[in-house]
Amino acid sequence: MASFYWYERNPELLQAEKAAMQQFFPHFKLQTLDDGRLYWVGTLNPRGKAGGTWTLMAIYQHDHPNNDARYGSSVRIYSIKPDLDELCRAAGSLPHVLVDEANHYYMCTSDRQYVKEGLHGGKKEYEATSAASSLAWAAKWIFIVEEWLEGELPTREVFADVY
Amino acid sequence: MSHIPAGMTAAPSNDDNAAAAQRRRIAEMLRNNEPINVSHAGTVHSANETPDGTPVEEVVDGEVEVFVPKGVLA
Repeated sequence: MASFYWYERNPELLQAEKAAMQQFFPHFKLQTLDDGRLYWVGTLNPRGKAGGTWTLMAIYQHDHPNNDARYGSSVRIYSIKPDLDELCRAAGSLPHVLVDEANHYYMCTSDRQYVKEGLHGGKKEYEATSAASSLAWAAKWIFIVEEWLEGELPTREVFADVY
Repeated sequence: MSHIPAGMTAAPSNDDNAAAAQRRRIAEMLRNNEPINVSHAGTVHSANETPDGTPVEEVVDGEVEVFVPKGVLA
């Protein structure tokens, strides 16, 4: 009987995920939630001294990689510090966030059209959007939100999906 | 950047100068890696300020205390 967990059913994909993280986000650590979901935790500071240092969790959903009919892919990016729920309350609203089953906010990192799972563009090799890709999108998310908070980007454009 | 499913989040309806000023204060807190604190009244202040923005150091004699707004701690 096949394992419930994607990383046991597909250890090659897990190795590819680890390799991608090692290449692009080597300071992130792989850990496991109580329900068996794997996640990476670490910090990002996309704007250097001009912005904050964000502690993020990239959590693989149980059906990873499954990116059909879903924003942000099957890797959800949560911000622990700053707490995204708290940040949203403080700012009154935040652009590009989604709400999970427990009513906690996580980043809407990507439109569905940019998320891959399967064979794409005539390629013979299987492709799946990785946690590394999701974290790269999260860096862009942080950059835009911090610029918006500082008044460098207009609210109308940030919420209207211009960037 | 992604689209937002309807009903999830919306642009602030009262996006006035006060809201923009509040966002700038939040940005400063982020830049300083300070905790984002929100009072019951919805005003935002850093951990070393009272709700009216007065630095704690100016209102506390002796040992400096960190102001914790109501509602932040359960």
